[in-house]
Amino acid sequence: MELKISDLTKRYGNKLALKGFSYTFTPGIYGILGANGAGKSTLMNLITDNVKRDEGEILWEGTDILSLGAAFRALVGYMPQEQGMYGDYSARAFLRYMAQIKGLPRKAARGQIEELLELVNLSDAAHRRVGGFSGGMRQRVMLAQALLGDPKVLILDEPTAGLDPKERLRLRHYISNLSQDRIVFLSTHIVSDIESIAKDVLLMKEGTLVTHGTPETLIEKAKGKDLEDVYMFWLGAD
Amino acid sequence: MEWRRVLLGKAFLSILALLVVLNTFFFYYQHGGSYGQFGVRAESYNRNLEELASLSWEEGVAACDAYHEEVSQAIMNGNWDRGPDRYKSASMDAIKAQLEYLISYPPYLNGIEKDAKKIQGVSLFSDPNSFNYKNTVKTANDFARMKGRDVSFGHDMAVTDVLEDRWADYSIVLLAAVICAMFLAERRAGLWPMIYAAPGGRVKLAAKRVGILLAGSLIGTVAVLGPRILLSAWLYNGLDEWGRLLQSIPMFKNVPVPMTVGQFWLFYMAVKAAGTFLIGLVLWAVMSMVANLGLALCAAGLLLAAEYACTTIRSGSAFAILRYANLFSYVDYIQVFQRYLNLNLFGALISGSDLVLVILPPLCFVCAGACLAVARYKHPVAPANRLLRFADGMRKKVDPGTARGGLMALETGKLFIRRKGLLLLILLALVLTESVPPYRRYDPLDMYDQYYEQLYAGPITGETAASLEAELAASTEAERSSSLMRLINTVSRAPEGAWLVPSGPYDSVWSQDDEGRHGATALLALLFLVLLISPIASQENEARVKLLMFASPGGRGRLWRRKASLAALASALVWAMVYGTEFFLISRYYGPFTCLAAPTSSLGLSTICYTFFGSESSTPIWLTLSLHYGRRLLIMLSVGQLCMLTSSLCRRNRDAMLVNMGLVVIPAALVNIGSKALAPVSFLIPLEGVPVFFRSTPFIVCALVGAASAALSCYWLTTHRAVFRAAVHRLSAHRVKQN
Repeated sequence: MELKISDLTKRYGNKLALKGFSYTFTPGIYGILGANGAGKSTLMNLITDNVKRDEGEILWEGTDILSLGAAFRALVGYMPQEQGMYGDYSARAFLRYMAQIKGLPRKAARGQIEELLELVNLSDAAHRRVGGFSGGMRQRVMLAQALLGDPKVLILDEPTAGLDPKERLRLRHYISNLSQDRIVFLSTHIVSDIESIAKDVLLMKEGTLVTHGTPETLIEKAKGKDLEDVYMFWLGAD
Repeated sequence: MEWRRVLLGKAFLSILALLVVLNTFFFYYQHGGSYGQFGVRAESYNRNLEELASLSWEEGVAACDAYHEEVSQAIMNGNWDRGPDRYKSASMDAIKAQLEYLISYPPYLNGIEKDAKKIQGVSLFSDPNSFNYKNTVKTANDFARMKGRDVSFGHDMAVTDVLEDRWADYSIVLLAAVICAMFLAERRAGLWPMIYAAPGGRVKLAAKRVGILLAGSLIGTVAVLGPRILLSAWLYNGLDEWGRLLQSIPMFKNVPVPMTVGQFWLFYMAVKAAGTFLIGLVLWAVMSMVANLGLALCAAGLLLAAEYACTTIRSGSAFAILRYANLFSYVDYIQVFQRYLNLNLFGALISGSDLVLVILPPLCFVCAGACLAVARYKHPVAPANRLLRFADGMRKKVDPGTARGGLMALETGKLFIRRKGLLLLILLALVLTESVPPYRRYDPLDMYDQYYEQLYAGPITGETAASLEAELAASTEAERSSSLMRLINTVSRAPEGAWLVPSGPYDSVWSQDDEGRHGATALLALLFLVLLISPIASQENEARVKLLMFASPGGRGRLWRRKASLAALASALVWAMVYGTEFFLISRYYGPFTCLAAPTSSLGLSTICYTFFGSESSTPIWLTLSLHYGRRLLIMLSVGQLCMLTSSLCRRNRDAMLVNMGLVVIPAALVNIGSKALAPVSFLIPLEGVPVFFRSTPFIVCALVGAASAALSCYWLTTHRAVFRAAVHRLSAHRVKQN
């Protein structure tokens, strides 16, 4: 299982959002760190084919994801930073709708939805309108929809924002368990979320990959105590 | 600040401007005549009235009778021609009614006095404590004020036409509702706790809002009613008649308070403004009592429904008081004002119109107090009320059971249930219950023509002519004979294979009716189609789930296919409802569609139905009829796809609605009231179908527009453009944040 990105470039008008990004991802968790506007969300939108790329290629098992089209998107679970959802849907109805969009068989989806609701601790509130949910609850609904269909590539943009410490810990464990047989992209500002679980950490600045490595290597290189020191060492000027 | 936010806010000002323009414009159109001939009807009325003004009232009545006699003779002789003054007959009728009323008014007043004296002498009614006795005495006393007042002949329509429809009344109430919605906007924006916590955020703010509501009601009343009153006075030459006694106008016969037309308008506007203020206060109090906005709207809706139901209580009922002590008495105040009815209020008698006035100030005071109390004591954060908890429980039970449908079912549910499409369809059904079929051309001999067409319906043979000749020989009535002669003439020139077809329903389908019913029906269909389909794709943008959809395997082509199918389904549904009703009404009013196998050219033989069937078409009528309605379906499908395209381009449902209104409904409305400039870009003409039925170009153009819209919406919803735009938008928002 391999997702290879080569020379990926994206411009928004005159602004260069991503500049010749190259990396090969294999199963495991990849923590992506960077200041606002560093190109993290652009990278994720390019992998989900939400944004048209200008240059470069993204290959899944050697085939460009654009050629694979819906077949590749069927392997992707995406949790965007923005908590967009239908406020008048219940959490269960929203997940059911997303399962249909993802083309999951109805029977299988039903069971999976209940499992995921249990996982994100929303079983008791699943019938309530998401419009009345707190930010943390909405975040959990978004995570549950990303996990629908057992995706091989999981893209999580700020998944722990708004969660209380207990939920964050729970989620971290779950994501850690998921990483055995899939590629997980985890973009966050809370560096402690990835320190213990990330296989590799990618530091991005102004659309380029500044450095990457295991948390231990990076900490050692930066001569710090934790990833926060690494962040300040490489990206502190921001 | 609050005054400026509400009364100078974009929402209030734009709705006020829109309502003023619509009310004034439609009033002008409605009373000016039909199809771009503004002023024709009013001109006819003014001209005929001014011709008769120099005569005495009795001579005037005689002149009207003479005119009608002349028309009858012309009809009998078969040479009746409406001439240049198409509305003369209707004008003369109205003027005659006015003159007869003026002659009868003094005797009417004397009659009330005499009846009162007579009835007091009857032992059955002579008990001074009985309702009948008190009622008789009060009626006589009330109307005694009118004795010796001089009624006069004048331009009654300058007053009556303003009061003819309820558009202005409901427009003013709508403005009050908009102000209330603006008061509650803080709840939608999540600002309520913050405002409630501020020192001036409770009673002080509510008191300011009471003032704003009062000012808004006054502004709305003057802005909506004022132009209509002035316009009507100008159209009907009533500008110099403000000093005329109001009771000179027949509709105010039962008003026992002497006042001039000018005084009436001032009084009427004052009551309307105060009534609107009261309605606004009640709506605001009820809605602010309920924290949940959806429930608040339901509560307000239920209250209005209950009040409306009370307006149907009969005058003789023990609960008749509820009919007057009712919010709708202030909406439709003219009905209350012109009606004289004494009510028994705990033994005392009060007239319905007085009751409505007497209770108005205390009610306003109480409701304003209630609003202040709610603002003070209603806390923004509270546990969910019982109803919401119940709804929650119900959803818990129902939710797992609704997992059966596929994506199409979910999309359908989204449009019809969550986006309230079903409510729109119910509303359309309610509107359709009030609709009337397209008018046929009026012909005084119509009745006989229809009768004989039905009697001899079928293929024309030698026997048909012989039977008609026999009928003619036996006929003693001039109209009947005239009709038979026309039919015999038709039968004699009929080509081989022609039928005699009962043409009533077909004429209604294809006639170019003077009242523009085809246009009104088409406009209704387009309006509801736009309202229904507009959020179909914009809802994803508004809910900000576009990125999510787009990253999913079925979120592009599959979703677009479902949405396109749903747009087609909604279009077909609106088409079926609107034109199904039209078909049903036509067959109910003008008889069933018979002789469907007859060649279409047979319709051209009819004396009534000759508008479009001069052709030699041998196509059976059923096929022509199917084509006619089928083409309308095609137009509706095309409009549906166009609405979906614009919806996919808009970021909000409201924007989609406005754009579609601008693209589809407004040009159609303007074409319907006579604008020729917009005819080529409006869907109204091909949807009406009547003048363009035999031309295929408009239909081909519409089909192309539909196909192009479908293709473009497919492109837009399945490629990166929409998402790219969203990304650019996010980036620019981010830049602003950074700056």
